[in-house]
Amino acid sequence: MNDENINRKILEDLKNLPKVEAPKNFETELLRKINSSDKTKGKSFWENLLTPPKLVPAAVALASAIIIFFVVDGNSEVMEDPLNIAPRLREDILITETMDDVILQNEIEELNKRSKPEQKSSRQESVKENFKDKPAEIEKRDTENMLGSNRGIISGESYIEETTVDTNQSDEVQRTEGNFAPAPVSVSPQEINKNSLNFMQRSLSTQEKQEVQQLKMKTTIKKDTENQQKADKTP
Amino acid sequence: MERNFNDLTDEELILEFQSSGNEKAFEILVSRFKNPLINFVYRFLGDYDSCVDVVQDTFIKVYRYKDNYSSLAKFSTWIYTIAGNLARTEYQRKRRRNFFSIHDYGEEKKTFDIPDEAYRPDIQTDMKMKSEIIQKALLKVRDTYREAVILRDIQELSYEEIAEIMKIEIGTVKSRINRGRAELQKYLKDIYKD
Repeated sequence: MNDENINRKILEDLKNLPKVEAPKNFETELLRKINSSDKTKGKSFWENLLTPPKLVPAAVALASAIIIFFVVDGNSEVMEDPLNIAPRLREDILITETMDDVILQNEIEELNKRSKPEQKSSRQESVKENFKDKPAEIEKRDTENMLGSNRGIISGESYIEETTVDTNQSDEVQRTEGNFAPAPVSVSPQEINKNSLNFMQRSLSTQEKQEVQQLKMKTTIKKDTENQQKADKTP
Repeated sequence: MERNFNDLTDEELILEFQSSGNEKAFEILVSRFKNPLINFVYRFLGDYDSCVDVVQDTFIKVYRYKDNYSSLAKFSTWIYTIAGNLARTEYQRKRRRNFFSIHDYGEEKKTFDIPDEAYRPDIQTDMKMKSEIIQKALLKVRDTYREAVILRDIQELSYEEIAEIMKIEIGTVKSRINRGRAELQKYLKDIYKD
């Protein structure tokens, strides 16, 4: 028998296969199943999900895995927001003097000029002598003082030592020579706190300082006149 | 005035069941489709008890999801699609169970006699034997080809209907049928030698 005949015979036999029929109680069994499925249909999703034999072991395993993950996790670090961290207080930076000190010193110098013009020449001479004795030291201090008056801030602990050691000498120079900048005020690192730091400080020329002073004077005069006017108005 | 539901077509019956929920229409549909579906699923699974369960589940789905039926499709293709999907799921479940079962490990697939007593006296002995051999050979054919062969050569559905039931192109249906037949011929060659 060739392949074509075999194929044809198979197709015939497939068609003539005995027809399988449903059992006699098929309908009754079906109705019973439909009714029972209607009852279970009323259950909610969570009730079906958490029916004991179903997903409870899986849910327990998942919950325990989550708990273990959060308990055992050793790499957890509380990350700090870098924008909310307070700036580090730099103890190596010292404020030598403020603007008020500079203005005050200028006032004192002007008073000295007016009151003792004669003494000035003699003192200048003595200063020149001192220059001759210690030209290198004075030059160094001079430049440092100039920097201190201009910048207002001088960094470095070595400077503190120098200034504290030579305070008497610098005072002397200050008293004798009005052209010298005021001596730097040594401030220990413990005295500096964050609030006292003047970040907006800038160097002012003598002309600018005088202008500032004039403005201050004007404002004080204005305030005084206003106060007087108020006092006059009140009975 | 009571309507005679037996005169209605399958589509009219399901639409009646959809609109009014009349269970009489559903019962007529069950009586019309229970045997063709049992035959189809039995040839696919080779297990009578499982096939009865699958067909009952098919009717339960029709009962519960009657509103999902669209009048554009034929009712027979819709119900065959449901039965085919359930049969495929059952077949895969059984295969997994047999794979992990200690008892069935290494054994050949068992055959199951049809318990319907009404058939047995009428079936000739050689035909009975032959049908058992064909059923065994059918179960050896790959399940995608087997479904197409059963629907075409046993259930005698058209290519278009099979394509709609299996949700594939007609060309694919034809090729699957041909491949299924070729496999079947390979297994049944020795019987038809003489």
